[in-house]
Amino acid sequence: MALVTARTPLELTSGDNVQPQPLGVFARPTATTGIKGWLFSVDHKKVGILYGAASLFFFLTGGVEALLIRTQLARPGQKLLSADLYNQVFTMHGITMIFLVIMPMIAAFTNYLMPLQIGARDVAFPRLNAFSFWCFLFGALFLNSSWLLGGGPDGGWFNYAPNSGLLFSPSHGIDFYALGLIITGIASSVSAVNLIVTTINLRAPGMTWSRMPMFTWMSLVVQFLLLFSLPVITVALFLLMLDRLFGSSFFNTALGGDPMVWQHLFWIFGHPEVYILVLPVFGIVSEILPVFARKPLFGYPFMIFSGIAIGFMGFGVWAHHMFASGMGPMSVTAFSLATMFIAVPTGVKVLNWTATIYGGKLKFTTANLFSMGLIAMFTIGGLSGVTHAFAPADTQQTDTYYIVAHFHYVIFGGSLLGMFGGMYFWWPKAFGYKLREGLGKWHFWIMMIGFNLTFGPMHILGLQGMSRRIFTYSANQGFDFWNMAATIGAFIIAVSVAIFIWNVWVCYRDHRRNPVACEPDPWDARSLEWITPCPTPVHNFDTIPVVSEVDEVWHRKYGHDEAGRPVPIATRAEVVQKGDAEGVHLPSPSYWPIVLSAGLPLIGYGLIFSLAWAIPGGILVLVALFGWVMEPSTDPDAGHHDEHPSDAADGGDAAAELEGSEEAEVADQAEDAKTVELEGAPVG
Amino acid sequence: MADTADTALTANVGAFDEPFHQIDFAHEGVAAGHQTSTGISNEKLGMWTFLGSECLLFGALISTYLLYKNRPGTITNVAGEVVGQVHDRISEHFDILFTSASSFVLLASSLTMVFAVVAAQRNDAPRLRLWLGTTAGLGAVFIGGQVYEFTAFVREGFGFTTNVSTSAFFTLTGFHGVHVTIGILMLLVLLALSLKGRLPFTKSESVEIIGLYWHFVDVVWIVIFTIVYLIK
Amino acid sequence: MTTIAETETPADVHPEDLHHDTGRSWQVAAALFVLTGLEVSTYFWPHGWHRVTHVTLIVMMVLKFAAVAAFFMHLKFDHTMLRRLFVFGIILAMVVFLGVLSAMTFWVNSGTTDFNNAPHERPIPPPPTRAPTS
Ligand code: HEM
Ligand SMILES: [Cu+2]
Repeated sequence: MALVTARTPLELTSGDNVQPQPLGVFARPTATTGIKGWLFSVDHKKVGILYGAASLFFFLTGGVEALLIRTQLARPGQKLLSADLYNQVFTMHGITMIFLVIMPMIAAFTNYLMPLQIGARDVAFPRLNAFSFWCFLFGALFLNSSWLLGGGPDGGWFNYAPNSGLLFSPSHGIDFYALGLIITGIASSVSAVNLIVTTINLRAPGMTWSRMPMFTWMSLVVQFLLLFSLPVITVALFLLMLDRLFGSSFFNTALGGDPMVWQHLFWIFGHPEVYILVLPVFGIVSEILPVFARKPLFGYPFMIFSGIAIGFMGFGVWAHHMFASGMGPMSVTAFSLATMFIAVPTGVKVLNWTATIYGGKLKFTTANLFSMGLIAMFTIGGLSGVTHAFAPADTQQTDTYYIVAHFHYVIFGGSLLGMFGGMYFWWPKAFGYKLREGLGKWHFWIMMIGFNLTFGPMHILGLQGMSRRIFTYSANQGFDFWNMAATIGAFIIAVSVAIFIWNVWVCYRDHRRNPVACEPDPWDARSLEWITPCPTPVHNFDTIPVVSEVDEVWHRKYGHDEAGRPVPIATRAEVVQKGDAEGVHLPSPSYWPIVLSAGLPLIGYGLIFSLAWAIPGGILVLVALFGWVMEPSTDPDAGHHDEHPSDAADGGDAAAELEGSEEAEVADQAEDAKTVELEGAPVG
Repeated sequence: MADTADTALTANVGAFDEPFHQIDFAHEGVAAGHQTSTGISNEKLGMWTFLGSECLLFGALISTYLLYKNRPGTITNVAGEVVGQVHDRISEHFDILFTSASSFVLLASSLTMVFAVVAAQRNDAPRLRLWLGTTAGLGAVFIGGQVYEFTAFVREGFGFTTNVSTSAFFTLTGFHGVHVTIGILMLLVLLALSLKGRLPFTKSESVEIIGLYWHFVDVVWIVIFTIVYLIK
Repeated sequence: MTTIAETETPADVHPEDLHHDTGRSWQVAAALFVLTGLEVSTYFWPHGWHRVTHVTLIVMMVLKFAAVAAFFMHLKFDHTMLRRLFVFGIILAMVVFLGVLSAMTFWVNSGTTDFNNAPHERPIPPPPTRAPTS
C-alpha cells in the first residue's frame, strides 16, 4: 500500500535560481552566502559545520568551568568558589560537556559525513535538520542563561532527588536544567528520526548494509539509541518540572513521592547516553586506522555486530549506577551480571582495532595518533568500568573520584580524543585545507600528558576515599599531592587546546591569503566521501557513484597482485570527481527552522518566570509552523514540483513539525494544571 | 536485525542495477520510476520511526503511573507508625462507564480515519473531507470527554497536586490528551489543505501518514484504558 | 520477506484493494467494538475473579492493539522494515519498563494496603522534617 511518489532518492530540486514565491506565505530566503547563508541554510554540510562551531564554543565554556573546579581543588581549603557556586560550576561543567559539546560534535560529524558516506545529496528532511541545530543552539543558550538569572543548576548532571527539589535547590537553576534539556532533547529526537530515515532510505545504488562505512554504521546505531532513550529522559524531566513548577510531588518522599523513580528513568536514558557519546567515535577510529595502517578494517562484520550489541545491551544495564541505592539483592545481581557482559563486545572492538594496526604500514599522522591514543586511554577507562561492574567493589568506589577517573577516561580519553582525530582527518574535506601536522602533534602529546596527569591521579584519590562533588577538603586527609597534580594536568590540557585553536587560526589565515584547495583525497583514503573533491561542493556528487565494495574509493584506486598486495590501478585524480556539475537542484533555504526554534526557549522562560513570556514564544511557534507547512520544501517556481526529497506539506514532515507544537500545548496544559492546583485541595 | 534488512536490500540492488548507471543525476530529467533504497517513502518511514520512539515515552508514563497509583494512602516511618495521611487514590473514583463511552468514540474515529485514507487513495475529495472532518470531530468529542472527566475530578477534590496518584494520573492522561489534540490539529490542517485544493492526489500519502499517528494515539488509549482504568 | 520494495505510485493502487480495505475495516472495527464491550463488562464481574479478569483484560488489550496495528495501520501488509521498527520499539519498551517495575518491587505484595510500597522488612525511610517551600 506504499504510495511512493515517483522520484529518485538522490534527486533534489533547484536551489540555485530561487525566487520569492507566491505559494509560501512569506517570501523565502535566497541568500546562499554571508551570514544569511548560514542562518537559513538547510544544507547538511553547513548544518554540520554549525554544529561543530557551536560545540567548540561550548567546549571553551565547559573548559573554563573545569579550570575553576580544578583551581578550587588545587589545595585544601581554597576559597575561590563558595560551596554553592562550586555546585553550580561542576553541574554546568558536566551538563555542558555531555549535552553541549560531545553530543553536538557527534551531530556535526554525522550531519557532515553520513550523507557523503552513503552517497546522498542531502538528508531526508533538510529543513528538519536545520531545525534540529537551531533548536539545540537555543536550548543550549537557554540553559546557560541561567547563570544570569539567579544561578545555574546545582544538583549534578544526574540531579538526584531530594537535591533537585525546591527544599535544597530553591533557585531556578534546576528549572533551567529540566526545560533546557527538554528543548535540546527535542532537537536530538528530531534529528534522530531524520538521520535514521536518511541512512535507511537514501543510500546510493549498491550501498548495501554490508558495504556501509563503519562510521555510518555506528552513527546509525547511535541514532537508534537516541530515538529510544530520549523519550524516557523527557518524561523524567517533565516530572521534575511538574514537581518544581506546578506543585506535584513525584520525587518528594515527604508527600509520598519516590526518588527511585527518577533514578531509574534517568539511568535508562543515562546509560545508553554514554554509548551515544562513544559509539560514533568508535566509528571515526574505525575509519581512520585502516587509512593510516593501509590495511582494511579487521573483522568488519564483527565491528558492526559488536556495535549493535553494545547499543542494545546498553538498555539493559542502567541500574549499575544504582548499586548503592538499596534497590535489593536481586536487582543488584542481575544488573551486575549484565554489566560484565557488556564489556565483551567493547573488548571485541579494541581487539579488532589492534589487529587492524598489527602488521600495517603505519603512518603517524596526527589523526592516527589521536586514534591510537584513544585505543589506549579508552581501554584503561573500560577496565576501570569493569571493576565497578562488581557491586561489592562498586559500593567502595561509587561517588568517589575513582568514578570521576573512569568516566573521564572513557569520555575524554574515548570520545574527545577520537573527535580531535576526526577533525584532523576530515578538516580538508570540510574546508579544503589541512591543519598543520607539526602543531597537531604538539597538540596530541601535550594533551595526552595533561590528560593522564589530570585523571590518572583521580583513581588514587578515589581509592583513598575522596568523595566526588565536594567543594574542598582539609589538609590532613592526604589528598593534597594528587589534587595539585591533577590541577597542573588540567592547565596542561588547556595549553593543548590553545595549540589546537592556534592551529585552526593559522591554517585558516594561510588559506585566506592563499586560497588554493588542497589536493583531493589527501590521505589516500577508503570510504565514499573522498570521491568528492575538497572542500565538498554544494551538490556533493557530480554523479551518484554506484557502490560495489566496502571501501569503495580504495577499490577504485587499487587492485591486487597474485600475492594479494595492493597495486595501483587508477590515480586519485582519476577517481575523484571534479565537483563542477552545474544545475544540480538542491533544497531551498528557509526561515522557519530558526524561527520555530526561537519560540521554544521563550516558552521555557514563560514557564519559569511569567506566562507573559510564553505568549510571544507560542506565537512564534505557531507562525513558524504555519509558514513551514505552507512552504514547499523546494521552490516550485523552479518547475520540479513533485520531486523534492521531502515535501513539507507532506504528512511525515508536517507531523514531525506539529510535534514541535507539543511544547505550546504543554504550556497550556501546564497552565491548566496551575488552575487545578488552586481549586483542588492542596495537601498540607 | 541487520542481516534480514540486508536481504531486503540485496533484493533491491537488482532493481538498482540497470537504470541507475545511465542516469546523469546532475542534469535532472529523471522523474519517473525511481525509489528510495527501501521503496518506503521518507515521510512514512519517518513517521514509523517516530512512533517507535513514542512507545518508550508512553511506556515511561504508564509505568510511572503504575508505580504511583497506590502510593501512598498513608505514609509510615521506619518504625511503621503512620506519620501522614493523604487523600485516597484516584483509581477508586473512576467513572468507568463514562470512560468506556469515550473509548468507543476514539475507536470509531480510527474507523473513520481508515475511510479517509481509502478516500484519499481513491482520489475522492468530497469523501476525504467528510471523513477527515468526522475523525477530527470524534477526536474533539473524546477530548471534550476528557475535559469533563478532569473537571469532575477536580470538583470531587482531586486536583493535580492532591497526591502522587492524582499527579501521575493527570500527567499520563494529559500527555495522551495533548497527543490527541495535536492529531486533531493535523487533521484540520489536512482538511483545510484539501478544501483549498492543495492536497493533490500525488500527496495522498500524507493522509495515510497522519492516519498512522491517529491510530497510534488510539492504540495508546487501548492500553491506558485497560491498564489504568480497568485493572484495579 | 514477501513485501519487498513496493514501488507503487498512487496510480498503482488498485481499486479492488481499496474496496477490500473498507470491507475488512468494518470487520476489524466490529471485532474491536465487541472486545471493548467485553472489557467494559469485566467491570461487573465478581471481585473474587480478579485473577481471571486481569488475564482476560490483558489478552483482550493485546488483541485490540494487534488488530489496530496490523489492519488499520497496515503493518500486516506493509514493508517488513516498518513492522520491525515498531515491534522493536514496543518490545524494548516492555522489557525496559517491566525491568523497572520489577526493580521497584511492583509485583511484591508488601502486605500493606499500599501494595507497591516496600515490604515491611525494607521500610520507607522517614520523611525529611521540613516541608518543601512551595
Ligand atoms: C566497558 C564498559 C563499561 C562498564 C562496565 C562501565 C561501568 C560503569 C559503572 C558500573 C558505573 C557506575 C559507577 C558508580 O557510579 O558507582 C559507571 C559510571 C559511568 N560510566 Fe561507565 N562503564 C563502561 C563504559 C563507559 C563508557 C564507554 C562511557 C562513556 C563514554 C562511560 C561513562 C560513564 C559515566 C559518565 C559514568 C558516571 C556517571 C555518573 O555517576 O555521573 N562508561 N560505569
Ligand atoms: Cu552506565
